[in-house]
Amino acid sequence: MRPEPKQMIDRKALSVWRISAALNSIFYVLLIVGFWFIQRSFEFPWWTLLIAGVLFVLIFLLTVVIFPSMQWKRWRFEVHEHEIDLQHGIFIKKRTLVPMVRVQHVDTRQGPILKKFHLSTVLISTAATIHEIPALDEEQADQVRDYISRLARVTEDDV
Amino acid sequence: MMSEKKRMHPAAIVVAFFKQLRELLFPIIIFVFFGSSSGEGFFSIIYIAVMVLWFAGLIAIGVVSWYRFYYWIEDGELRMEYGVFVKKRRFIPQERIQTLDTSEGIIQRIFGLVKVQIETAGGGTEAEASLTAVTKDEANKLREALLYYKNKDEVYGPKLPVQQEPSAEPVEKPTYKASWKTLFIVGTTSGGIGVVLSAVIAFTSQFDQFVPYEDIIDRFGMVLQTSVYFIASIVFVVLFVSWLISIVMTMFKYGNFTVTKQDDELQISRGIIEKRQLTISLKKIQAIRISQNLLRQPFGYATVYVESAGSSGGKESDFSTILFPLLKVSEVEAHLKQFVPSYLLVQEVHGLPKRSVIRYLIRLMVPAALLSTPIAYFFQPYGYLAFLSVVVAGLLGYSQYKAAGWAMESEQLQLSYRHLSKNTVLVRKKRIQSFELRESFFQGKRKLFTIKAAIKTGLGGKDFQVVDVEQHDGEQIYEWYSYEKKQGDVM
Repeated sequence: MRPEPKQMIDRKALSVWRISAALNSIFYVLLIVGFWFIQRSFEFPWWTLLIAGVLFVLIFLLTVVIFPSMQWKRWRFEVHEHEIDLQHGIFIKKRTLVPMVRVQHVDTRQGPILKKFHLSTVLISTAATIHEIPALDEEQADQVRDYISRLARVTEDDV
Repeated sequence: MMSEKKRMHPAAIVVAFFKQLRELLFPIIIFVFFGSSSGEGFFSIIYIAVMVLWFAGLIAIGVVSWYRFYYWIEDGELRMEYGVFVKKRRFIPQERIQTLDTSEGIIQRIFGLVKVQIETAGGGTEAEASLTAVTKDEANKLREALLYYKNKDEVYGPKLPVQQEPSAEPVEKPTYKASWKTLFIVGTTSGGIGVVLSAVIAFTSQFDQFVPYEDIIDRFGMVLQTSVYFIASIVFVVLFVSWLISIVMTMFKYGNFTVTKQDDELQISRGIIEKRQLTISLKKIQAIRISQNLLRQPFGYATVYVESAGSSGGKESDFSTILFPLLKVSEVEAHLKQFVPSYLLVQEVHGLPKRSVIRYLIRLMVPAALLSTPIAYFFQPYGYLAFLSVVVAGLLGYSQYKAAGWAMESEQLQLSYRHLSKNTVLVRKKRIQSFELRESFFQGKRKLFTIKAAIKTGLGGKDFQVVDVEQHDGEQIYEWYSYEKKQGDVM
């Protein structure tokens, strides 16, 4: 089998993932605040709050610090002439092959956080599936998009 | 040909009216109930007036939308123009048409008409074009004009070979007809859970001698006892009757099931009260799936499905179309060869390595054990019976392991797997939209892969996967699927 794809996604993806994970954790903070009120009014033992707090710190560490870097290290892609080779996944390593003939269209997308870091996501759609390369430099993303779309057009085939 | 604008047969108004009526059945029932009970004097007049207006409105809308609906064929496209207030047009290029079905509901049959549904690969549950009432002759012309676009010159030229009713053609074409006996077996073995349930209840009620039901029930008192038996027998009767009903319904639905292969098309027709005819071009078939449910497998029967890219109009469960409702497993290969020659059922399937079996067992037995432990703890002593589920889970896990496997042909991948039913999927390489190898942490340690192939179906896509395949095998399939034999870095 072909060795794993060589290209990595942009290093800044790490910051993007961290920021969005941190934003998500606001939700957990709210949960804990809610629990604090419940704990006070129903007089639950104090250590339940402690457990909740420890859980929060754990989740925060995992999703903000550890997972993004694992994710980033795992993420590889490579665009060949006839196919796109992707590899990602923290606990389940996924290696996906998308032939150019099957590509229906390619998009780039940019949310507010990605925009701040001048990054874009490339979305590759086949008739049945959508694959994404999560964070590439804007310019590179555009290049990849145009490149794939050009190659996909060359190899025309029916559904 | 057919370039002049046409209206449907006026019976379309009737069809539309009844369709509206059916959709509004619930509000109408509510309206009738509440209306009539409080209907005295002045109110009942309003009530009747509203009803009359309502029906008149339905009919009027039906008439106007029929009047405004035109269809025609132009420039190789099926074109439609419709809409009461806003004029809408829809053009469907022939090349995009996946299937053309005809069906006959009761109203269509009264008028000797058919309903034509045309589907493209686009998503959504509705057919892209639906002509609710056209003559059979017209339907044939449409099929002729829209599906045989390959021979464009012939079709549009004056020397058009007018095709008769498919059945009137010479009988060289491969034809499959499901016998009544076959359909009866289909009916009896299809209602899976219902059958099993009623069987289980019948079975356990025989166990009076061994299990002290009485003692259990005595604790709850006599009243409950009688009612328990009463409820049990009612449940049994209900299940049995529903089973019978499901058999009859299957017979009606799949009665006269016929598959004919004509050139590179399959025509599937079925149904007694509502006749359906479905045409699938061989080129549009995305995969063939051979399925054996738990009841059919012991008798060596299988059902063959076609996965096609049309939307869901004439589709059964999981948006697959039944190709053969019931075949002996030994007959499947021959039938496929005859009807879908590019698909080959490989007999020598590569199984999974021995070290996978433990993973299959753990996956089912551990959750079963986790669930039954608290049951056993809280409902002693009979709660211990819950641990039987662990045994059942183990058996299922083992048979899942035995069923799983894969095989490769030059242009075709065959995947077998079982959830409850055993499925074997045949996919052409060209039809696999993307291919994935997955490896979890524990799989990595044991050098196993999950292989996953995605195909296109009516509602987007569908994945077929085999879990815990030998790593080397997974790599081999990956290489087979890869279009690039040599390493070519282009970026």
